[in-house]
Amino acid sequence: MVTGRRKFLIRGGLLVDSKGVRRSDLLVEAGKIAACEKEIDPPSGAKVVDARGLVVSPGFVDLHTHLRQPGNEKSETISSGSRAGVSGGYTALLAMPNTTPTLDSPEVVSYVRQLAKEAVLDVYFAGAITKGRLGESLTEMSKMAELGIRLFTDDGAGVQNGQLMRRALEYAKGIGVTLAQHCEDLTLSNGGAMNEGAVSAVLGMKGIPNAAEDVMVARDIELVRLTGARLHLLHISTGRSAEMVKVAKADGLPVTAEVTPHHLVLSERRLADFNPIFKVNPPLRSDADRLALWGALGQGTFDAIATDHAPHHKEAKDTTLDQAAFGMIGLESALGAVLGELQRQLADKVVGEGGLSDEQLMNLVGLFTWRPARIAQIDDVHGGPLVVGRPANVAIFDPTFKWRLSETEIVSRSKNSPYFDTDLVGKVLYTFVNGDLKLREGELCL
Amino acid sequence: MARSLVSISDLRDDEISHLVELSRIFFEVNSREIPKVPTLRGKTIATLFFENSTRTRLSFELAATRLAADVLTFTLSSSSVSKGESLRDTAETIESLGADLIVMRHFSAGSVQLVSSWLDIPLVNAGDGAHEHPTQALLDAVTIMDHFKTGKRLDGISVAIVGDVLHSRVARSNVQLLSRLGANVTLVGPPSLLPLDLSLWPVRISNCLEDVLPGCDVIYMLRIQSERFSESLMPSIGEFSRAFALNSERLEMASKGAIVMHPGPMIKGVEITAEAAESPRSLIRTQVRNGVGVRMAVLYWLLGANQGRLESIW
Amino acid sequence: MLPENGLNSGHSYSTASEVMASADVKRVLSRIAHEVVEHNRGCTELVIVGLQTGGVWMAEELCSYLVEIATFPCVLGSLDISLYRDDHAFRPFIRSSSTDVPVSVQDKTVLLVDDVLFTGRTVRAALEAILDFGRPNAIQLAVMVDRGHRELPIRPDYVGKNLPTSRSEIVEVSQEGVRILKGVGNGS
Repeated sequence: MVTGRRKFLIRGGLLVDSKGVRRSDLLVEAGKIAACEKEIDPPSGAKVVDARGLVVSPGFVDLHTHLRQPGNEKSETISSGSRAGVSGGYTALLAMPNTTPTLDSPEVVSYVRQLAKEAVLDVYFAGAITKGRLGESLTEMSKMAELGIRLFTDDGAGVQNGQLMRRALEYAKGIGVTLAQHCEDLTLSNGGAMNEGAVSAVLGMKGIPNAAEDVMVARDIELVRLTGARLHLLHISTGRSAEMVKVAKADGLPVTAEVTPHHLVLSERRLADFNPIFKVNPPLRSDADRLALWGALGQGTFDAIATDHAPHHKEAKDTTLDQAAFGMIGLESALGAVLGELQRQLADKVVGEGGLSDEQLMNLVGLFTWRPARIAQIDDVHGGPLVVGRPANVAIFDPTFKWRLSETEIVSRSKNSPYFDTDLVGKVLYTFVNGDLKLREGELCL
Repeated sequence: MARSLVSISDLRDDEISHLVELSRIFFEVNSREIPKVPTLRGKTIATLFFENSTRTRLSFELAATRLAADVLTFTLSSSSVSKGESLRDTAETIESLGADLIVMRHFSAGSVQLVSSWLDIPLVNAGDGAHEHPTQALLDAVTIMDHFKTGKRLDGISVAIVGDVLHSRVARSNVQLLSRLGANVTLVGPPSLLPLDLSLWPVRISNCLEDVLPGCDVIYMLRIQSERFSESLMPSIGEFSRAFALNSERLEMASKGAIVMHPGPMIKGVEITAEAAESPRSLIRTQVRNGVGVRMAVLYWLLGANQGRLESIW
Repeated sequence: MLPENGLNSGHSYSTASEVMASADVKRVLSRIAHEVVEHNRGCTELVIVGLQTGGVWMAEELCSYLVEIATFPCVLGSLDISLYRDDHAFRPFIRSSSTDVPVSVQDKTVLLVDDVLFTGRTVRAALEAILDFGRPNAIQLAVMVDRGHRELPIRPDYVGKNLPTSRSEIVEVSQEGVRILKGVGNGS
């Protein structure tokens, strides 16, 4: 892949990164940010991108993507998923290891690395904590770490055995990698298909109680206290879990946590007519939980908004709710869904002109960019800041653009989005991956 | 998509009232020497059962036969149809065969609604998982109305629904229908057999049957399945029966006029004793008999003159 | 609802002419009662069945005349033939339960009573319906008005008045009299 073939001048945008918020032009050349000044005259041969009224941010980093390759290419491939990522403003994805075969050995790591050359953005991989994600014996983490794997998780399932999790944390600490946990006590979720609450009671559906998540969050926080190892908590869905994360952080424990757009935007009420599109794990919770997640987000409890992009082909969803697959796609709608919901909430509070303050904007961009980049340990290349010499991984979005996602426009190979009837606000119009323009005016240009 | 009956919430109040009237018309038909009318002659009604239920299936098939419809019977074991694709295939095949209506029972909640979204013909839900069983609720409502002579309402009637509410589609349909008709419904059972969050249910809750008995007009016993004990929802059959089975002594605690109901099949000695089930206060056999007329009413309403509407077609 | 008169709402009728007055109706009913007695000598029991809805009052009146003059016992009933119609897909349903045949009709004589005989389809359905209550010795038919336009081979045994009409007209029968409403609509 030849990078940085062309020069681009991004003019008049509002730059938002870990350094702050400022109006500035940005020159991209040879794959890097070549200049960043208040006003830059277009050099010869530079293509000018008019970014007036737009936000220029580091390219988004998704900590939680299922790319389905190898094993389920009918639903997604590394290539198709990476295109969906670029459409959503992402320049880096962390692919989950629950593929077939499981990403649990150096051989599989080398194999998927080859496949990742098809990607139109930077794909990183998470390795499995246990072989086959069966929760029985640890994988050869240090060999995989040598090949560049920085994060390990059995996502799709949590490590059920407390002793094994303790050993995994200790081992991971020794080799300087991070473990990430899908918090779900399977004896409590017990085959449930949705949140256990008012809606499941009416539908007669078996439910997954909040406690299935909370119990494992509590256990793992205590294991971090015991071992001192770093732990990232995936897709927190309950108010109680968020509260525990907040306390753990206040105690100084090396715990990070992510929240998904769908747990912020949607609630169990969407399942009232059994629509399997809204079936996801952890399940969409009550509105009380959803609002508690927003509260935690406002207090800085979460370190990242991660999509848990989980593509499923049509047949996997076109069945009864109890038999349908868990998961929904999210790369293309992540920003629009979160900003859309935020706008709806702000409109209630009558914030000046309904716009975001600089601080809110910075917080939001941080959750999509530099903070997840640090957790994935890829912040040398991704997540900004937008300063001279850094790789030009940049997303440009219109924070006020109102739109609807339609099935025909979805780039992902699977169409299982829950947002077809939701107003989305904020759309990524340009994505630069290592200096190459991959998305122009909202259209892929590969 | 044709008008179907999936859930009690599909029915407006005036439609419920119309179905009650129609049911009584068919009770009269069923009391005749020749209990059969030619109303649905030429129509084909398919029964598609993914769960064993001889009683409900026979009740629907008898209802269809008494309306002179032809009956197609599909009984499938759950093992042969475990994937979504084959559910769709099966349903579409039945529609292609020329069925005018499908009566469906399935082990998954929401399955009947899903199939109705695929087809152009009406469906009648004969039980979908733990979700709903609307014709059972309709026949129970009419049975109570006719017993207490309350017309087309149940105002002031107190109903205790007892036992495994958590897994009961009968309870879900009955709670909705009976309370909409004005009845006061109390759910009685151990917390492990009641849903966790009942905030959307218009009911009172009790964990003690003996507390509730003196104040209720209808004691509605639910079936308890033996697998509930292997799931540790209750320690043993004996432990459950001790607290929640309806026996002669408990029946004595109920008010004089109280009646006993059960959707069947009963497991005598578990949730109800033979003496209670066969006592003069038991309407269990009336329920079975009324089931045919109520199902005739539903089939006629969906396939006959107004095809699931109330408005005159003019 | 006027079950034998076809389309009946959404149409307007410009004129109405009275064909029989209240006194005529009474006289005719009395005359039919005498004919019934005359015709049924040796009858063991007569079951008089009014067809819903227009035949019910007429059956009641007829029965009260018959009780006074007949030598055999008379039993009154009513029959809703909605469930037997061959055109029920095009007819709204009668809402209340209105079939009441209080005795078995087995081996008895049944007198079907309706206000207007038109195409004959109601009577056909009534014949089918009454047979579900048993096998009578004989079924007879009494109507107040025979307006013609038969579509089936059905003939009344007792007629109050033969009244030639066009299909677009509406015939209205009650205790107060018989009127013809002239159609101005598309009268097909």
